[in-house]
Amino acid sequence: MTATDSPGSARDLVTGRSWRATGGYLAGRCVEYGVVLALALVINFVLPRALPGGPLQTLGGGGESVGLLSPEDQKRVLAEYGLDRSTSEQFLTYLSNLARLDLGNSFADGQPVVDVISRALPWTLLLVGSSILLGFGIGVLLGAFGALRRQRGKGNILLGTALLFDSMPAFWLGMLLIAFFGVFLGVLPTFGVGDGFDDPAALPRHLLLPVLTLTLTGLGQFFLYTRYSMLSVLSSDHIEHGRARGIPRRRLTIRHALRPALLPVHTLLMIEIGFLVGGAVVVETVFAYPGLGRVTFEAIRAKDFPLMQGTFLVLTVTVVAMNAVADATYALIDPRVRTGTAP
Amino acid sequence: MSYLSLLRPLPSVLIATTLLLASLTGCGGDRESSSAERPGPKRAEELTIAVATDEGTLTPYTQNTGYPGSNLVALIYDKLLELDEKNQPQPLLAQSMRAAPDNKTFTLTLRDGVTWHDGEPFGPDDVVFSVDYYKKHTVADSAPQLQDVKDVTVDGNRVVFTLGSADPEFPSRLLADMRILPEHVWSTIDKPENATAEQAIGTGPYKLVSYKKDQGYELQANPDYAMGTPKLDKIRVSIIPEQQTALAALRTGEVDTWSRTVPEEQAKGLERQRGIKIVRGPGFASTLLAFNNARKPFDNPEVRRAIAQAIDVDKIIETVLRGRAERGNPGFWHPDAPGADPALGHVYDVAGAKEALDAAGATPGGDGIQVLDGKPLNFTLLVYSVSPERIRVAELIRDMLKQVGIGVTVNSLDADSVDAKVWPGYDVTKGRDYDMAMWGWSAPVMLDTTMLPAVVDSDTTLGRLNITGTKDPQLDQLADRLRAATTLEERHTLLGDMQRRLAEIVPFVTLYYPDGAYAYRQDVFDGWVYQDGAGILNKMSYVDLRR
Amino acid sequence: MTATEVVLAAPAEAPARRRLRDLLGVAGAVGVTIVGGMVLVAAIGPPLVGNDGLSPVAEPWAEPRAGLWLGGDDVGKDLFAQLVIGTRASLAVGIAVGLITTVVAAVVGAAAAVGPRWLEATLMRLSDVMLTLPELPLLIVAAAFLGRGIDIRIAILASLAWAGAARVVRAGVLSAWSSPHLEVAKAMGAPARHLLIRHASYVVAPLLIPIFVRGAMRAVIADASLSFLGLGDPTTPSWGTILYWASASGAFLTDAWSRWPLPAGLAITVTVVALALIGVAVEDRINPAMRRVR
Repeated sequence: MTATDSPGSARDLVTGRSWRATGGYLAGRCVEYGVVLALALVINFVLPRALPGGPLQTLGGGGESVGLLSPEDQKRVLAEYGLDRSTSEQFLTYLSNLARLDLGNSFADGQPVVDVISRALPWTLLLVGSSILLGFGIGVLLGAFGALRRQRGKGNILLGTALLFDSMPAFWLGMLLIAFFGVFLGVLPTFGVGDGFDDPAALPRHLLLPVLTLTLTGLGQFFLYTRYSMLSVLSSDHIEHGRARGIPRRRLTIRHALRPALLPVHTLLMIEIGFLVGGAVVVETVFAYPGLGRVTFEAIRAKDFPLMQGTFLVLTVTVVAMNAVADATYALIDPRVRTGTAP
Repeated sequence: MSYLSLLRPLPSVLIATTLLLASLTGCGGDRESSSAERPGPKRAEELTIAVATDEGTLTPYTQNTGYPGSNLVALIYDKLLELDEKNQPQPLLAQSMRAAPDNKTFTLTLRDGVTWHDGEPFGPDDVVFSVDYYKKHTVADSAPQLQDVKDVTVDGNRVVFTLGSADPEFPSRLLADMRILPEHVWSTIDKPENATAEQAIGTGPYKLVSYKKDQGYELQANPDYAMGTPKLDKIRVSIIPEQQTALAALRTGEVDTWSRTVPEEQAKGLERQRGIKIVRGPGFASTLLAFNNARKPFDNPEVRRAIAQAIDVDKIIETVLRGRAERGNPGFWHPDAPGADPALGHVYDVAGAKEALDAAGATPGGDGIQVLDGKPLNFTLLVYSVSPERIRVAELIRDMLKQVGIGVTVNSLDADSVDAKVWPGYDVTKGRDYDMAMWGWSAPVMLDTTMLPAVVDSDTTLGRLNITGTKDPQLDQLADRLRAATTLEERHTLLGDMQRRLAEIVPFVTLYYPDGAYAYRQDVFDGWVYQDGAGILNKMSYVDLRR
Repeated sequence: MTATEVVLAAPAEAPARRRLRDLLGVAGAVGVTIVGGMVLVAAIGPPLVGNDGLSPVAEPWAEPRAGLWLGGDDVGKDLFAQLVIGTRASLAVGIAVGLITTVVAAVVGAAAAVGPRWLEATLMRLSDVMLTLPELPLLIVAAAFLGRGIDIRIAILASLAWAGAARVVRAGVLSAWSSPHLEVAKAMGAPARHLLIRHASYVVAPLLIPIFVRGAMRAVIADASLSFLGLGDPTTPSWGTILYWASASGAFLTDAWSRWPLPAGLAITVTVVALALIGVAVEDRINPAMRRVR
């Protein structure tokens, strides 16, 4: 902690950098993210192979079929997928294929992993993306509102409602919604996406319940963080100064309070978007929704190494990218970080 | 007092939620209370089947599960013979079959005028090609075992199979299992496990129109089907992983049947709803309590027998399956399956079990746990975490064995972790590392007498399914004779002997065979046919077969 | 905790109640009362319910009756007993994961914000790696090699939760670090550690409360979700276990829904809401400056 004693170190990071320093800083960041990616790639390779059992049952047939194969046939099956070679050899193949953007074919049904992922990804983006955007938009608005109306009835109603939905397990809420809207009222479909993108008109009806479930259970965190953060900023000295200087209330609220208050919320959003690609396994399972979360879950179940590596890779790249974006965009939201000028 | 205001919104929210939830009570399913008396339509334009998992591109090489994967592939691909409701082979692509008296040569006359979905004619060459292809590519999910087929020859529209050794079960086991592949499509496929949905071309009653991963399939009736008339114009298959959701969709009519057996409590609720019917029948899948026969004290038949006696199978069936299961035959074979010895029955006798343990040398120890050979009888019982039913049974067995001084810890693990201990590498020569495990074999095992030898033979090249490490010279000898037997009658006699020997030495406890209970929308389609042991998803349900 | 028990034990004792309310506000008082009640149930409830919730005590799907307040589940185990006993597991997971997450996030986040460049880089990239780890296979691997005990689940959930929280803390500290009065103080040569503890903590401390609350809330829900996905231990009573069996036997669509999945789901919801209320209240109290906000 010796370097901490010099107050300049942290300041140099976020403020008062020359352009040349910025260039070096960015290059350093790129190297760091490269290291993260490399580490994640290794983990993505190791993790599937650390799982108990192997892909033999997926490859050689479920139940008795695989056992009825002679040991020689079993070896032949494994050899056909290159699984008889040493782990280091497999790792090298994995890397060289990756370099050529070849993710291989799924063990379970032989389809190219790229195809499987690119079919599932739009669905996940649609479901989780719209839920996060809705949750973020509504959560931030209500959170700011709740902070401003902290001591009044409306703010408290908001707080109570947000907390209530936020506190429900998603699968539980989803099942209640299916039972109520699908079975009891019979007004909404209970599962799936109908004919998918072939019948876009029917899509909203299918999307309603899963999006509702994810939005309701996800909105609370944006609400809470915004509210907390906003309250902190509202009580800080520079708002007091602003008030004393007679800055109009609306401008003070939006320009001077909401923007800095969004900094932690913005970090949260980026983290959530990172998780987006991991999908929402539970909700996708409950609503029989064809997204990436379910693909990942099924790949794990089947010990489908190529598909697992593929979905993990998408997850890794997105999370790293979103974190990079979060780092890079701090400045856009907090003007003090951007200008780096102290008053 | 401004804090008080916080209290106001919460109750109102709670009340609103409670009202919303309370209104849900209406969905208890007891609104309609008519059971289905009037039969529904035997034909329908469109039918939706819900299945739990994606089944790949629906070719014999890319399906993911035996059930219902094979059943869906059977819509597209045909076999030479097809099993009927009672699992007897009947003509399909072959219009007749003649077996030589020595059961070594089988001559099949193929049906005329059969075409593949793409219009190409089907012929005997396709059969020869399929045999060669399956022999070359053994990686099929249910690759027929054709090692014993020495020769396949074509004689006009006849195909002659010559076997290396006599096999009276060849027709039901292999001819009624091998899906025939089109030579003109598959001869260019050298990686069959990568076959695409476009290559899913068969002679079957339905054509695959579309496949969307994790969503489902669409199949259209094949108007040129030579072996019968499809009863449905269009079949949709929807993939719904969660049971609860599938049942909800069945209630709303979004799906018309579900591939899985409906839990009994659900079945009762569904039956009360107008338009839904439950059809029940025997299931041939078995549920076992497997002992590691190679580990002390399970190497002692007296101990195994004592444990078996301490288990109240009737209570298990009554509690966990609500009575919807057949009691286990101590000889493993399902009482309704061909070759079963119906005289054998499970004996439940706690006092007898205690005596047997005492006779084996067990003495009282601390905590009510008996001690044998200086070791307390504490064991771990492995069970698949994906099988709620078996977890419940394991819990009951734990409580029952407690009564005779045996301590059991139920350990629920994911299927692969259990397999890794019970059946490492799916190769019994690699040994095993467990005390007891909840286990089971699938329904098709009961349709092939040579499978019992595979389950118990101590020669690991023959007893490939001997996960219990059973080692009994008498069983081995019976197994050898059964495999060598040339007629079905002889095989059934030996199968009976094996069952009786199994009941004596109890290498595992056959607990029960769950009944099948399938729910379907009778108001949409009522043409389902229940095949013993296998359920309603079969060719007879979808097609009026010409016999 | 003492205040809670006073409220529960002697509701007529007005001064004590008022003291609690003055301390935390009504919201906080409600939250503390609920959580305190849950803790009390977890502490003394299990011996009182008369059975261990492990074995059947009635017929399958038994209707509620005296001594069997919520009836039986699919094999006749006492649902009420499971609900009471399950309180222990759920609370322990929530509180433990919340605490671990908060402490780790605070230390890592603050160190990354004001520490030297290499430390910041190491910590933030480490958190990136943690965030990229796929949760499910990790849990399966952990379950296979370490078991499915509650301690393992706590460790796993905490190790997956701290990284995101640390980034939030870091953002908060960075924001505080560049605030005008700290800039002035830094210009005047005040030591960083002093600044961090004395001044930045005003901004960051309120952020830790929601991190704890969220950590605890998420852990309670995640634990139940794991059980639902079959990755928990379905043989020991917990709220997640109750929901797993309700789902496995289709209880959501039977008449038993109101005495089986509903109470367990509500128990989770109420506990999590109570935690959140405490969080809100403490946060309102902890920062004296906040009292000025109108």
